[in-house]
Amino acid sequence: MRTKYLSYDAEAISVKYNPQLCIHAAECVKGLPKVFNPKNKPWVEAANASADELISVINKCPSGALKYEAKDSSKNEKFDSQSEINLVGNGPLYFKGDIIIYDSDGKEVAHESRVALCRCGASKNKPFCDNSHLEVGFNG
Amino acid sequence: MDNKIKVTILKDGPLMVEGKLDISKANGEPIECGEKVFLCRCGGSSKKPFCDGTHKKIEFKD
Repeated sequence: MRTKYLSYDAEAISVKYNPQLCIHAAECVKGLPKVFNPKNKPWVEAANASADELISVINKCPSGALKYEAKDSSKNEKFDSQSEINLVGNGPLYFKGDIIIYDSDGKEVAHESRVALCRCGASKNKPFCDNSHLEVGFNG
Repeated sequence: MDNKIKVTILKDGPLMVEGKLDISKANGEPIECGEKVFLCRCGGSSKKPFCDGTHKKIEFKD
């Protein structure tokens, strides 16, 4: 369902990016412009920041399009014990914490710490948000 | 201890969300709810964020 993660590697950490899930919340671009710059190719330069800096910014990515694997595995992302769900005005639902997603048959399809799920009905990547709410002028 | 949230994607229907739920509106205001809710996924509910069955009327398809 969400396998297409590209990898941008630095010595201490690999930044993983899934373009299908990115909804341009831009937490990365705002938080660490020296690493995340859509004008550059590649747009992620993981070596330009410390692993800790990268981790703190990647953890703010609401869609889960960005993830990471640290060489020091003790730094790898944990599922928050406190889960929360936030409605985005005229947009998706942001889930954060320890989120297990099942299909209609009750089969587990994903276990995520951050995910944005479609609320407008128009996403072409359901159940995930793909920003279609902007195109359809979703109001809610 | 168990603070997991279970999200079931109901076919052509809402999200069934179970757990100790902490749901907030866009303005940060908390939404009162129990430990199991059905959240609209078709965009048509008039009780958003909750499902009101509209997906059937508008024949929402995954």
